[in-house]
Amino acid sequence: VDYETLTHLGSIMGSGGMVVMDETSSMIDVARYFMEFCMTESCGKCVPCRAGTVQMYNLLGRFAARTATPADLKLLEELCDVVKNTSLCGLGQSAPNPLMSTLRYFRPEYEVALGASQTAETGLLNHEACFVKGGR
Amino acid sequence: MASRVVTLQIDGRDLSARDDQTILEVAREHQIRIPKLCYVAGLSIYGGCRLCLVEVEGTNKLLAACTTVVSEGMQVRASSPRLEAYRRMILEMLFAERNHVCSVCVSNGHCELQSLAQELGLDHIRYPYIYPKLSLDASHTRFVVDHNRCILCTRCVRICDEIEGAHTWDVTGRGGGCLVITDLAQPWGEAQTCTSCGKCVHVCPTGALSEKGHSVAEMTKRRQFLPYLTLMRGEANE
Repeated sequence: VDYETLTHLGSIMGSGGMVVMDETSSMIDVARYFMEFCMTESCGKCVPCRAGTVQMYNLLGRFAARTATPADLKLLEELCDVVKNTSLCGLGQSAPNPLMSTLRYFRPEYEVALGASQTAETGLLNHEACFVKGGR
Repeated sequence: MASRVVTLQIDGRDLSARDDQTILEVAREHQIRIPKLCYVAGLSIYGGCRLCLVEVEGTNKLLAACTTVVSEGMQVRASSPRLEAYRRMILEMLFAERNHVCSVCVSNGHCELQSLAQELGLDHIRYPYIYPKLSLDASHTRFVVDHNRCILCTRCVRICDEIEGAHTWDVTGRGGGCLVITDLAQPWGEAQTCTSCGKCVHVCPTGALSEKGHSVAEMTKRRQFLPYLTLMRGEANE
């Protein structure tokens, strides 16, 4: 565990803490938890961090409630990009990181969390689909 | 200390500038348009709206033109498809953040947020509207502050502090909960430091601050005094 490896994995050292999770943790809830932290910690000076973290938090809420649409997933990815690249300070620039890395490593969890109409064709219950697609 | 002259390129144009000028100042001098909302020449630089972000050769990060001082040989791109897309998204976030309903706004047709959106070709807001419940304070005898239209550019805060010297305005809260306040969050009409000069109203880019007695689209801001801010500041600097 060193700075370079963590950066390569899309993570940061932060205060050096480590959170251990098993496969029952919802990655959407994890991303939403960290986004809530950034949203409440945002000072409000620059627009992308002040307004973008709120937007991402709300969109993640749709995923948690299983009411998201494919368009929401696209918006979420777009918001990650704009907030990361246009925010004034390190808080906004790193706010999308948990969302981006969960999207990178656990994308199927987001896909099965799309609204019921989107996953009906798979014929699987959401958590089953998640297991199959997640390859776990 | 005397400043030196440097040469730089903005959008392929060779320009010369003083080495204490910012990219935005140089661009404005040469009629190169860079969108901005929080910047006002003559007031302190804020760097919060992020609309003036530009690409500078040699760095991966986008830099705010208003806060970045020029240097010799600098190559700046003030507009590109990527920058335009980011600028539109930032405007979308602003529109979705509060209740910017142009059709019933006193500043309709005279609003910097609205005209920037038109200029950048913003025709839809794709982000879900937040619709916060915000108040309107009409306790002042001549002016109104409508938080629904505020974009938190802090122009009012800076002009009140730096030009009028009253520092009636400030920002309270944090993140999405920020609000501009008068004195210690008292009603504007009871703010004892306010001199009722009205500079905040006329420097406000949107309909957040307006004069009483104006209906929809009737609030035109009188900005004639703004150039004098740079004039006064320039003399003070020398």
